[in-house]
Amino acid sequence: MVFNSDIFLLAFLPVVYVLFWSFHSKEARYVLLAAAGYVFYGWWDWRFCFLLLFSSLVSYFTGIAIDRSATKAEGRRWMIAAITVDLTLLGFFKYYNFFASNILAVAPGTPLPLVNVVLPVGISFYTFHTISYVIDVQRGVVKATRNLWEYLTYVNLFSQLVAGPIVRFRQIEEDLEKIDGPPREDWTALGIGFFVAGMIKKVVIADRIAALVNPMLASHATMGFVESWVAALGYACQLYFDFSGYSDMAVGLGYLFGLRIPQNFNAPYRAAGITDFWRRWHISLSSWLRDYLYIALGGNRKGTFRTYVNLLITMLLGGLWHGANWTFIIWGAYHGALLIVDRLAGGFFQRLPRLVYQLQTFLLVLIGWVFFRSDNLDMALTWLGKMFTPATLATDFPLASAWMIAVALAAICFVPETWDIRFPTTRRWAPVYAAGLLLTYFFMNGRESVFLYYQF
Amino acid sequence: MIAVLRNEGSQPPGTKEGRMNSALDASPVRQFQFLRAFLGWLAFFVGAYWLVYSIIDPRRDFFGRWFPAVVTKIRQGKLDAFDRYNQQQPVTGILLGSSRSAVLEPAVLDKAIGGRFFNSAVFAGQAEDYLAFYRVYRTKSPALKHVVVGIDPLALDPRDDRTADFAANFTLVSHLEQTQGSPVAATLHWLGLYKRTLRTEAVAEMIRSVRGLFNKTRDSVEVAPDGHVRYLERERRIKEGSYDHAASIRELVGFAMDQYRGIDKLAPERMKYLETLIEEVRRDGRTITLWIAPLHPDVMAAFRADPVVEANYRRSIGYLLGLRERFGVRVDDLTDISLYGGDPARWYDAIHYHPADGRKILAHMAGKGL
Repeated sequence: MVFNSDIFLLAFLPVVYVLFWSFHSKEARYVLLAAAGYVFYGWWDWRFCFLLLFSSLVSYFTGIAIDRSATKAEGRRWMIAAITVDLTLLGFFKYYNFFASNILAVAPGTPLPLVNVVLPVGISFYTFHTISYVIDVQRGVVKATRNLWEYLTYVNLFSQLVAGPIVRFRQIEEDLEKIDGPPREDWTALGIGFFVAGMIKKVVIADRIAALVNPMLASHATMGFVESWVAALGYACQLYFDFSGYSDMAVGLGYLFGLRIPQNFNAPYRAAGITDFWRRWHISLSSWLRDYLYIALGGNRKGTFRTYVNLLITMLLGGLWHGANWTFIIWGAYHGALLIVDRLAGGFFQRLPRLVYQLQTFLLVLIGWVFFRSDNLDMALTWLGKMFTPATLATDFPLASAWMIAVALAAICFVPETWDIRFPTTRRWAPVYAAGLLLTYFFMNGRESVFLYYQF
Repeated sequence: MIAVLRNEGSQPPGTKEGRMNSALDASPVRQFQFLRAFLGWLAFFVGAYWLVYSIIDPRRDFFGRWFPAVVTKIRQGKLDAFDRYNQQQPVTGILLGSSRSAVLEPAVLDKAIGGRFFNSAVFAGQAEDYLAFYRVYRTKSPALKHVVVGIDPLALDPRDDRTADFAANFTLVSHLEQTQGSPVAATLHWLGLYKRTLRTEAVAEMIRSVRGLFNKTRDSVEVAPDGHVRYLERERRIKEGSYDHAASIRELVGFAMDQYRGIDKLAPERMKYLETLIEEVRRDGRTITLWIAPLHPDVMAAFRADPVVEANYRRSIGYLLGLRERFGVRVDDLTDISLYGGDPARWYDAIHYHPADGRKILAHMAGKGL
C-alpha cells in the first residue's frame, strides 16, 4: 500500500484513525497500530508479514535476554546473535543472488545456485529498526520493553515501515508510552500540514518530473549533451521530492496518531560540502550509519588513516544497503572518497564563496546520482560520457518541456524545507489545508505511483 | 566524516529548542475541532467543484447541456440512434465492431438480404462493447435476427482498459455485468464517475468546454440515422483534393506495427465476452456472423517483414478462426482486400478503409447469406 492511493486515503487511514481515537487504553491502541502495520505491509504480499513478525520477535526477545544477562559479555553475545539473524535474512533476500552471480562470473564452477526470490519491500528499513533496538539495549541507551505490542507498534508503524525514516526506539519511546493520551489540536493540524506538503512534493512535482525523465533514461544511449544534463538534473529533483515527500507524509501521519517521527531531510541541495550534504540528506540513515557502523569501526579514534578507511567502509556499505548492484557500491565508494577529500581539503573549500561551494557540492552530488539511478555500469558510463563530451550544444530536445525541473530547482533554492515552515494550527487555516489536499488529489487520482525508496 | 546531526531527534517545527509538551494537556472539548473544520471544508470544496463540473459537463456524463462537449459520446449516440431507428420500424440485424466497421452502410444489407439493419460499431470498440450492445438491443427489438461482428485482434487486447466512453455508460456497463436495476451498482457507478472528475485532465476538459462556447468548431464525424458513421472532415478534404492518402497510410503503418508488436497474447476476459456473445446469440435463436476486418496491404507487408509482429498477428487471427470449429460459427477472414475487391488507394489511412470498400465488404458477405 502506498500513501498516495485511494485504498490508503479513502479506506485504510480513515478506518485506522477512527478506531485509534475510539480506543482509550494503551494496549488497544498498540494492538490496533501493530495490526494496521501488518495490513499495510501485507497489502503488497501477505506472506512476508511472517518475515516481519519473525524479525520483530527475534529482536524483542533478544532485548529481554540482554536485559537479563548477568554480564556485559553475555549481553553482547545475545546482540551478536540477533544481528546475525537479521543480517542473514537481509543478506539472503537482498544480496545472495548478487554475490552468487558475481562469484559465478569469476569462478564458473562454484556450486552456488541462483535462487528465484522476491525482495521483501522495506526489509532494509525494518532490519535497521530492529538492529538499532538491540544495539541500543545492549549499550544501555534504552531499556528493553517488556510489552510486545508496544514493540510491534514501533517496528510495524505503517507511517515509517516501508521506507523510513529509520526511527530509533528511544526517539519514539516517550510518545509510545503516552499513546493513550487524548488528541492534540495542534498536532492534528501539523499532521495534515506535513502530509499535504509531502503529497505536493510527491504527486505534483516528483511524479511529473518522472514522466519526463524516465522516457529519456529508457533510451539513454541516444541522449545528447543537453538531454543528459536535463536527465541528471531532473532525476536529482525527482529523487529529492519523492523521498522527502514520503518522509514528510510519514511525519504527518505520525502526528495524527500522537507520534513524533524525526526529520529526514534538511534542504540537502543547499549544502556547502559533502559532509554538510550528509547532515541534510536521509538524516535517519546517515546518523544510523554513523552511530552503529562508523563509530563501531572505531570512528576517528584510531588515527587519521583509519578514520579515512572507516569512512570509506561506512559509505561503501551505505551504498550497498540501497541495493545489490555495483552501481550502488560505486556510488557509496564515490561518496566515501568525497568525504575524505572534504576532510583533507575542507579548509580550502571553506574559503570559497559560499555559493560556489554549494554549486560545487551540488555538481558532485549530481554526478553521484548518475550511478545511483543507472541500471548498470554501462548505462552510468554512457550517461556520464554524454554529460562530459559536449559534441554540440544544438539539440532537438524541447527544453520548454523541462519547465517542471526549472520550477523544482527554484523551489529547492528558495522555498523553505518543510520542517522550517511554521504550519498554522488554528481552525481558520483549515480551508487552506483542505484545498491543498484536494489539489494534490487531482494530480494523484488515477495515477498511483510507488515511492522510489520502496525498492530499497 | 559522517555527519554529526544537529537535527537528529524529533524536533517539531518551530520549536527546535526542545520537544513539544506532553500530549496530555489538550482540552478534550476541543479535541477534533480542527479535523471537523478540515473535513467540512474538504466536503464543501468537493461539492462546489462537482456542482461546477456537472453544469459544464464536458463529457456529457451528468446534467449539464449548456456548454459544448469535448468528447464524442459515440456509445450513447448509437444507443439513442438505435431507439429512434427501431421506433420507426423494428430492427432485424445489427452490425457490431470498432471504428473499422463504423462506416459500413446497413442499407447494403437491407437490399441484399432484406430486413432492417443498424450499425452499432463504435470507436475503439472492444469485445465488451459487442456483448453489452447485443444484450441491450435484444431487449429492445424482439425482431432481431442477425448479428454481424466485425472483429480484429485489437478488440481482445489485454493492454487496454475499458474505454472511458464505455465505462461512463451505465446502460452498457450494467448490461455487461448484468446488474440492471441494482441501486447499489448504479450508486457505485455514479460515484465512480464523480471520482473521475477529480483529475487534472477533467479540469482541462472543463476549460476546453468553456472556451468551446466562444470558438465553435465544425463536427468532424456524424452518425447517420441507421448508425453508420460519416467522416465529414475527411470527406470535405478529399473533395477539396487536400487529403493526403499516402501520408495518412504511412503514418498509421507505424501505429499498427506498435499495436501488434505488443499483443503477444489475448485478454482472457475479452475472449470470454466474445464467446459468451456467440453462445447467447445462438441460444436466443439468432444468427451470428464474424468477419475479420481488413488491413491495408502496406500494413500486411510491414507485418511480414517483422517476425515478431507477424507471429503475434497470426496467433491472434488463429484464435478467431478457431472459433469456427469450436462453436460452428461463420468466421470470414477478409484480411486480404483482394478477397472483396478493395481499393487500397482510397483508404483513409492504413487501418480505416473508405465507405466504398465498406459497401464491397457487405456485398461480399451478403453474397454468401447470413
